[in-house]
Amino acid sequence: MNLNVAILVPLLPLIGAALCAVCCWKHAWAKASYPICAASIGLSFVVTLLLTLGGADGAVQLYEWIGIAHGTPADDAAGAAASGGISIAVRYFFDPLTLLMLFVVTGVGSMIAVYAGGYMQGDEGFPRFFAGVALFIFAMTTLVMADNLVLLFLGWEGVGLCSYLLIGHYFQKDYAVAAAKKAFIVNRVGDFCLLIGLFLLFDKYGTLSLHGTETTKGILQAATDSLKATGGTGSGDAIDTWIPMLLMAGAFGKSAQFPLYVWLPDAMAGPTPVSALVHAATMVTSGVYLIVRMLPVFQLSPCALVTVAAIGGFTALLAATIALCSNDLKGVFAYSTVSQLGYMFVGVGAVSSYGAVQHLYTHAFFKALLFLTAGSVMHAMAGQLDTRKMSGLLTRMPVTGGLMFVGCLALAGLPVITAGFWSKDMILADAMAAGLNDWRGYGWLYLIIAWAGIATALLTAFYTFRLWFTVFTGEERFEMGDEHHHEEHEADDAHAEGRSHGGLPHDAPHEMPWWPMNLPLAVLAIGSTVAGVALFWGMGDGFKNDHYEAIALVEPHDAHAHGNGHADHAEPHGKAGPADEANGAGGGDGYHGEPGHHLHHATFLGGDVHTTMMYVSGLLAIVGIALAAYFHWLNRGARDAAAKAFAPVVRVLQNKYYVDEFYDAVIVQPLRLAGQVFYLVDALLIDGIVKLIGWAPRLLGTGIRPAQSGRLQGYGLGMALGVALLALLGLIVWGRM
Amino acid sequence: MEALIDKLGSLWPEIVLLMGAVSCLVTGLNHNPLARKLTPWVAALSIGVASLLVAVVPPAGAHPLGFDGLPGFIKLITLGIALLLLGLAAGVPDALLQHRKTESSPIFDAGNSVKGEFYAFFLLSITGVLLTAGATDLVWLFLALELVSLPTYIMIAVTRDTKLAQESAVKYFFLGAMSAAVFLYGFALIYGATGYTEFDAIRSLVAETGPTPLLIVGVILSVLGLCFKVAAVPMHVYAADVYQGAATPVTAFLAFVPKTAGFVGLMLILGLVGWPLPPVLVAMLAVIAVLTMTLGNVLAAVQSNLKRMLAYSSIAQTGYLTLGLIAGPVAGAAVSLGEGVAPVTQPTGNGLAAILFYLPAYGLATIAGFAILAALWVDRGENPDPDDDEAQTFDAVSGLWHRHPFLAALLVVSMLSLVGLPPLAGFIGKVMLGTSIAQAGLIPLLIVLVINSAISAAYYLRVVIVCFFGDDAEATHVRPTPLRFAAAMVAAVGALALGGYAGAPLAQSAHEAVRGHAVANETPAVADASE
Repeated sequence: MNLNVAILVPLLPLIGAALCAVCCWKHAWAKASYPICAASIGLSFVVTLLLTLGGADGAVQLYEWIGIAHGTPADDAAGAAASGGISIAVRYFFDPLTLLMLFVVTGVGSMIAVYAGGYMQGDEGFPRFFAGVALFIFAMTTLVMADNLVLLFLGWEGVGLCSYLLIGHYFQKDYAVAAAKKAFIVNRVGDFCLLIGLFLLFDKYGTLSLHGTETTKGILQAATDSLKATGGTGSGDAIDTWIPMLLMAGAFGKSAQFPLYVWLPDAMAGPTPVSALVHAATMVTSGVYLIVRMLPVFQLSPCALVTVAAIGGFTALLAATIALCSNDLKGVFAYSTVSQLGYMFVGVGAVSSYGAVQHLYTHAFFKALLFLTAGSVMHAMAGQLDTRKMSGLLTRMPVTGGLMFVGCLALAGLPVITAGFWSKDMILADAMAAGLNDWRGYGWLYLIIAWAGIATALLTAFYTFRLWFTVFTGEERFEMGDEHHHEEHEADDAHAEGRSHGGLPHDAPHEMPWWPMNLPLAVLAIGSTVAGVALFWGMGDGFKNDHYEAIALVEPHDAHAHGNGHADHAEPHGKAGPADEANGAGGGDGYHGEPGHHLHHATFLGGDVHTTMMYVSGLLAIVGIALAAYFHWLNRGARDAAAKAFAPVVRVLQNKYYVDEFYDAVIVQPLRLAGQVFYLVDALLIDGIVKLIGWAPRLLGTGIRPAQSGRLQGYGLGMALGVALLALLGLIVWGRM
Repeated sequence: MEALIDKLGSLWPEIVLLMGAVSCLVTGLNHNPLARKLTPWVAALSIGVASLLVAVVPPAGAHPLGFDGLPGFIKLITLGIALLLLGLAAGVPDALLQHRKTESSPIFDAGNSVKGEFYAFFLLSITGVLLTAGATDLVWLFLALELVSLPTYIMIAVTRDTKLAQESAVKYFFLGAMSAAVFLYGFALIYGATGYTEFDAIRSLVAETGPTPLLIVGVILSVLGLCFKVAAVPMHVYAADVYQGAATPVTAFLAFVPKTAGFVGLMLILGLVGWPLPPVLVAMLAVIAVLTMTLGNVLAAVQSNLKRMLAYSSIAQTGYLTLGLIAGPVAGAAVSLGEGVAPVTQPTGNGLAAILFYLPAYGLATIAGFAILAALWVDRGENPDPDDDEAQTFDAVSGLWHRHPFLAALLVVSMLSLVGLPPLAGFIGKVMLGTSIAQAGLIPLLIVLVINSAISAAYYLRVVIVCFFGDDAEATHVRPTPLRFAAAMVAAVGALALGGYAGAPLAQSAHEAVRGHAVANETPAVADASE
């Protein structure tokens, strides 16, 4: 398989974006942008599939953008570092992780693009929207394919830009503009840290290439080597901790983790397909990708990974509690996204990058599904998002309700048949095992994280189904929103035969058409079931091997002595039955003797940690769903009574712990004040100085201008004088020699 | 004399251009209107054929100064950019009032049309650049340099029927003659010091005896004289008046063509002495560079006339380029790219390669800028004068984005490339110049370069600000000149490409073009070290 084909993966969406931008030019062309965008992403997906089937492995270099060698030529990374040279190449690298990410980005991306064609119909900025989506896919694929951290950073900023543009799609509305600005500015904090991290990486490794070339060593190899030299506990150098901490801050900004998560719920101001694509399935996972990609660098630090896990666990719990009381349809899913991303970080932090990526993969499917079905509801309700104003919609929108039900099951983690169950379980079990094994002496923290994760699982199941039961069951009651979005496009389509709207009164919710809206959702629904996770197991074999190699570097060498040696846990493992045979949970028995296995095995509540965790989280999911069914479907009176009893708690949660207010008081207002002070200083002091300095060239200019009088003799004299002066200068230098 | 006969074989591109020039005279003054209409296409055809010949015909062999690839490189980029300039200039003579009168009258009066001359002189000047690039002899170099400039004096005078244009043509001519005298004097002293006019003979003599004082004086005078061609201090004074006076497409021509020839001439003259240059030359060039860029930038910052601003900006760019002359070529150590791939040397630190890269980068950005100006015209209300309706001021492009977003976008690309922002060509060019001067150990000059770039951002970005946020200039209209749009677009795309994927290959070939000089130099350097 010729790797050069891979260039098409980012190139096609880029061309698509350019064409869509051209479509903005004339109103008549606007309609063409949708097929262009969907086709370009779809073709990109096809190329990704070809690459996956062909087992793409290795790098393809387009061109070297900047190559500066300094002094002696650099034969290896050490030489380059010593000489201060730098090489920045547009170079794509393919390994199983990249391919998995590409599959998610282009696969889920093309489904969402197809759906968006229906959703965005009649929108003023129709071509602008699709140009943004295609450009986003270009930036995102660049991000995951980049072999050079500068290129990765460009992709990183590219997705940030597209996110800004797409959140602000309805730029006539103040809240959308504010949300877009908030997202952009909060991300600045993270990106700044990331940039400093890149500087430090370059300082330490002398290169920004991840995998290096045939002759030079990349960062990952260099970090792995030094990890081998220092041993499983990592190195004690301060820079080895600073680098991952800074990269982590960047990842937390993009992936909306505490304390930088505040932008993501607001980002729902964008069109719903954008929420699904950018703010649930792909862009927000790029932080997870970054850490998984840079795992050797993180492993070098004794405390970086546990920090990642701790903040991830904390964010997961925090966001889940907020989601518990939110009455905003998309808000619940937004906080649930923050919470699920927290899970992924717990996974990475527990060196379970396989689990984290697995959750990233399944989450992309079911969260995209949830958002898009929420979008359908919103579309049907003319922009209504308040769940208190809708009830019993199942008869009106059976397909949407059913699809959302599948998504909710996956998010809640219903045992065995849903994708979310498998991936979440693996993360929790690995975190618990890291705690039980007292990995790097942070066992207590990992235990807390794991228990927090278990508590979150219960909350997740509850809030998810609270939402579903509230919206789709009970007596039929609805209050339409104030956006006449779909009426407009109905008028637009007045000539098209009936469509879905036919026969129904305009002021009642209606089911979405199969094409182009419900069909892609059905595909996503299939991906949300066990079929999706099975697909991942099929695709992820290569990544799993990489993952074990990475673990082997840091696992405790005395793992055998830990009382959960081979003899012990071979038996409970055997009992795990279908779980392990599907080789999702523990890697399968065949790996027992292999390295990279001890860290994630321990005895927990009398059984192997993976098996026990499966029962525990499965049980919690069912309990959560049952509770939600009781309070929000069968006995809504009890719900109100409970809400009354816990009124203060509910108020705090509904106000999202007052975090936004806190930030406003502690950061935004002081900054604003400082801004005003600076403005005054700027206007009075700096401007004065600048004007003074500005006068200097002006004065100089006007001083010289007479010389530029336009008189030929004057010019001739000037030239002759200049020649004479420079000749004199030459003479002086000569004399000093 | 056998040298000239041998050379003829390598002069086919120049011969084709000369033939094109003569044909343009014939068709341009023909009484058949169709033939007159075809004149620019004849010029384009001859440029196309010439560039094909440059690409196909093998080089004449080893260059006397080791710049083996220099003639080919310069010829190709000059012809390529000449094509863009032609796109820009096509239609200039037709716009003249007197030409229009005679075109519309029943009998064509050739005496009132300059169409033939304009394109013929255009081609002759380009021929001069090509000959300069191929020069191996002082006399040849002098004649070639004059062939570049002489046609431009006429091009300025005939293409705009205003007093300003006549005045600037005369100024340009007299000052040009004076500068020619200066560098001819320098050439004479070089001849006097060595007894040769051929480069290879001078070079081998210098390698034996080292540069004598008389030779250095000759080189100094030659450099100062050539400063006129590149618009460097102290010979820069004409630039603003002349650039403003000439018709905008001709200004674009002046900003690129004589400058290229001048820098090639400077490389050849300094190549006679060889790098590292004697301290006296380094000191002089450093003073010239610093003064040129600072003066250019400071004066550009106070202009309200866009053409004058671009003229001073062109002076400032000359200052940046001069840094490359100080740094000079380095051979570069070979870097292996893996098994089976021939080792390459990187262009890093090669000042001459940086110049060769920067010239087309600057040319593309400048042409895009001037092309946008040339594509606009300003309605001056009462007593409209078709010979004086040029868009010249900042006000003319004010609010261009709202009326013509496409043109505004191209203008922005051009300005940003001139500032040197990534991912545009100007950025890569400045990085190359900066690394070369840093590698030469002249960090203060690097600092001056950076400070000057910052100053330049102020006035280049002012154009952008005016374009986007200024009030709509109601009086400004677009000329229906698709060729100018095309030239601007190609130039902007080229600036993007050179800043991206095409950058590295061009830098590499620029490096290959001149590294032979440094390789040839290495042997005596090693001998010195062993003493």
